[in-house]
Amino acid sequence: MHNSALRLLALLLVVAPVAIEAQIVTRGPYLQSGSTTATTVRWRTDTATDSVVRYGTAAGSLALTAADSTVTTEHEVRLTGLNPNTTYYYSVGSSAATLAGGSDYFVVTAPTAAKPTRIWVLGDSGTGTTVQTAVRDAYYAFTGTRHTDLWLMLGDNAYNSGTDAEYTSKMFNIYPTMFRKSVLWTTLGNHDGASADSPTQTGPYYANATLPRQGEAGGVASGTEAYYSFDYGNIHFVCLDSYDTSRSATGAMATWLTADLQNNTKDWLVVFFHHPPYSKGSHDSDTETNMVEMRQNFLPILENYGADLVLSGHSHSYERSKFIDGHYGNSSTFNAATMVKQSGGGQGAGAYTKVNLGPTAHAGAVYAVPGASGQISGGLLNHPAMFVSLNVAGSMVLDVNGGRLDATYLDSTGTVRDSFTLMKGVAANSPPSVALTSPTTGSTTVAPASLTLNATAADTDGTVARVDFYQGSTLLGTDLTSPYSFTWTAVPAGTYSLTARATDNAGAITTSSTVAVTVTPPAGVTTAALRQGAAGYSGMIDTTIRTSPSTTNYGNVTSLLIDGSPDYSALLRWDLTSIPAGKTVSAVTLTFNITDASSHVYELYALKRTWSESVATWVTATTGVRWQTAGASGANDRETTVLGTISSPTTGMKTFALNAAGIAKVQSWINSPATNFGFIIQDYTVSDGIDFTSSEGANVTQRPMITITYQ
Amino acid sequence: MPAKPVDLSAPPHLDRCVRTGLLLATLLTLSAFSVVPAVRAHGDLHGQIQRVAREIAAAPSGRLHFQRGELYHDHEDYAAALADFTEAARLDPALTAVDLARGRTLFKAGRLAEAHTTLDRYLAAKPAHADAYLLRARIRSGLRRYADAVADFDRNLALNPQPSPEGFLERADAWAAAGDRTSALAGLDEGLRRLGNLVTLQDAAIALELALGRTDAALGRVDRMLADLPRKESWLARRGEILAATGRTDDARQAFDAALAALERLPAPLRETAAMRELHARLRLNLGS
Repeated sequence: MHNSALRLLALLLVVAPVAIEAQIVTRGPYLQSGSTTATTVRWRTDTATDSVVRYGTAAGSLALTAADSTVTTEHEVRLTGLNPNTTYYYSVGSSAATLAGGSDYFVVTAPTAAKPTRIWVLGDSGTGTTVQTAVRDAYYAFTGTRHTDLWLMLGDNAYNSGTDAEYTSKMFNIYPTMFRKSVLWTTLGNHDGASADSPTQTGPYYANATLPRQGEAGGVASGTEAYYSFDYGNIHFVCLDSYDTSRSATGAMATWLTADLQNNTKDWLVVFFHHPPYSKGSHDSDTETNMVEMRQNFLPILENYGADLVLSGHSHSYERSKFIDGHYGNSSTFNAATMVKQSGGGQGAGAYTKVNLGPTAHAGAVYAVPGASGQISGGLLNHPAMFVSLNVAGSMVLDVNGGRLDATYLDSTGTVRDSFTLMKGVAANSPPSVALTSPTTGSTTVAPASLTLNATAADTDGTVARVDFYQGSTLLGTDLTSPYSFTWTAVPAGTYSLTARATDNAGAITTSSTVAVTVTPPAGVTTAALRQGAAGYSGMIDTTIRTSPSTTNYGNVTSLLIDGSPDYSALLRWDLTSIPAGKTVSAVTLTFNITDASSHVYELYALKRTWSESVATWVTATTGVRWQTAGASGANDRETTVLGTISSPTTGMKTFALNAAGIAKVQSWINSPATNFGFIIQDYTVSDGIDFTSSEGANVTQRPMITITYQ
Repeated sequence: MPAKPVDLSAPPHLDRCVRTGLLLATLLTLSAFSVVPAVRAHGDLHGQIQRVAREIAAAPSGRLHFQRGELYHDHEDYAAALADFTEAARLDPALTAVDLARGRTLFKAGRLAEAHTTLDRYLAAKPAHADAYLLRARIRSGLRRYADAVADFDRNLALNPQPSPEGFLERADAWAAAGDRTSALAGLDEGLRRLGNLVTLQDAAIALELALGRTDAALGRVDRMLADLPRKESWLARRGEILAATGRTDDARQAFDAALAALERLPAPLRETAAMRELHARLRLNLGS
């Protein structure tokens, strides 16, 4: 024991000084400003030395050297004179020692022409939480051995204040293997900007980055790292500073952007900045100055020069737009009829297309907000420009191959939650033709009617994939094969506008001329359609109650929201006293303008107590009266009999029929108006919410309507 | 939500956290704010303010008031921000960064004289703070004290090893507003030397050369851009317009012809942008065709 102790002491005396003096890499290495012929390698060490990068095209033979004799702990060496699209292995260290290297330390220089390119996109990632690492691990599993050619961070890369320590722990230490072999390109977020300054390009964000100011990687020189551009193969990337640089349409950034885009001839134009021009996530693009100004001042430039994809973060969710152009106002001004360049979600045969491969003005763009790579923060998530809105953590993967770009939103479990494809340089698709051949305009039948709709459809450069039959904007049915037909049964009295809508194999849609038909009630039958503000009716109240915030009233909001995660319910009541007591009710329908679709099924129940539109909240029914159970789900709050259900996988005007219990309940309200406390639409067990326009909606024809048939 | 959290635990960063960049935007930006509500609904910014308010209620401190003042500033609730900064200074007189934050907030609120006084006090304590000079330069421009503004822009650019193009452009604007276009030009040339041949700086310099009647110098700058940029048509057109304005019609026509030829050589999609259609119309008009 004695000898052993002495030996241990002797060993410590010999080894300890060596261990103390050994230099170690404390950050990186990481790759910056990659171009076809150069890449910057940076790393940090615990003690100061000179900087040496040894490199070569074989992992075991690093015959070339680039060095900087400055003694420093912040090492930055630019490798120049490289060949395009070539892999160079490297190690980092000093003239005295190699500190880090190996077969997974390599640089792949940018190609001069198109090559299959994989891009990883992270938004608001730097939380340092298990969400961030789960999103990372999901991508690593997804990409496997497929090399990530470059990656983008969309700002808020290190919470909470973008300090140097936060960058170490929440950025560099999270993705070390990615940093050492793929070039990262970043933009400034508001949290990065808390400790950094764009006018002086100082603070940890700028200290950690080496970004091209002189067009070193392609594009026009900006003179600043705050906004810049670069090329990779057939893609031109533009980074803007939406936080700390003038967003004026006449400012330096806008002037530079115009010049840069004027000189771009690459096939693809991908733009990224932190503040999204469209979002209804945890940030609202209708109200936040940065978001409004980016939309109003920069989108016209980007679209004029043919932007294909615009990426932002800031809202901690995933939102992805339709294929749009020309939307520069608030969300209420979004007009799908004029601003959607191509309908659908861009999947499969319905991939978004552009005829030209290079930049083309106003040919359509997708705006994506993958801002949930570190946390999720919810929000209304109902921006009308969006095709998909998800409160789901994840990251985005872009695969560009020639004239094809595939985008994937990968959640933190590795599940693909959204995907779309852009195709450029493809021949323009001719839309199909379609005609509704029967019934004919002006025809009349007696309720309950059976109407057989027949259509003809053809496509000159492909095939007809489907024909959908509509009444107004309500889908009645679909036929996938010719002859195209659908029989609409039990049609109640009313006037109907019927159309057939043909979709071809490339996703182009043509709608037939409208056929107006009338179904008259049988003798003695009356139909009452009650909608706030229509035909002098003013007897409807409605509101949403939300678990959080639980004490906020939403009685004057223009949407009703229903969800089970987080919990929302909608309360609706129509005054039915205009219908004489004693009449026999035979049918009741509710018509809503669905603004956020959901395949989940929500139930209608009768409420059992008085509630106030201007007071009701998650906890309170009316002034001084609380629900028995918060969320209006107690035995004294609502009945338990399901009166009907609502569910709609698509948006637009939808009509839902009440079941026999629902008809009986409405009958009882007509006979005894004092018992009419209205409906609650509720299901706290499902997770995909559904929204529709409320009685405060600006467009009267989109407000909720109850239709009662009686005699 | 757009929070600008402040890491008060790291004193070296404290002044950096009191941002001066475009948060200290120009008066032009301030005028843009007037078309939107003064106080916005800022989602989770409310939550952050409430969280700090709870901490203040539990244990008030200068640092917490400073932090909440920053959040109020982000929320564009300048009155509340200033109240918090006052309380922060009262509770912790050593918190010098309060003056920079207060100055920035007063500037954004349009209270320029008070902002200037505050920045004077701050710079007396921190005479080497580049960002504070930039802020005071903008305040002085707003007060039409252009010569003083130029002096502060000079200090900012001298202290700043890596300035952005905006600093040179703003200084040139101040010089020009003071009536000294020659110095404005010299300042832009300093920027071009430090930052490279930037379109943003050359664009402003050409306008100044023309205002000074120095046509050949303006043409020289156009030629520098023509040499550097792959797309020539816009700069050739500009060359033609400068020549036409000085009566050198033959040379102008040559430049317009060259611009039109460059434009028509472009692939169709590039020719069809709104800017190129407008340029095409301009060239046709100038060529009388």
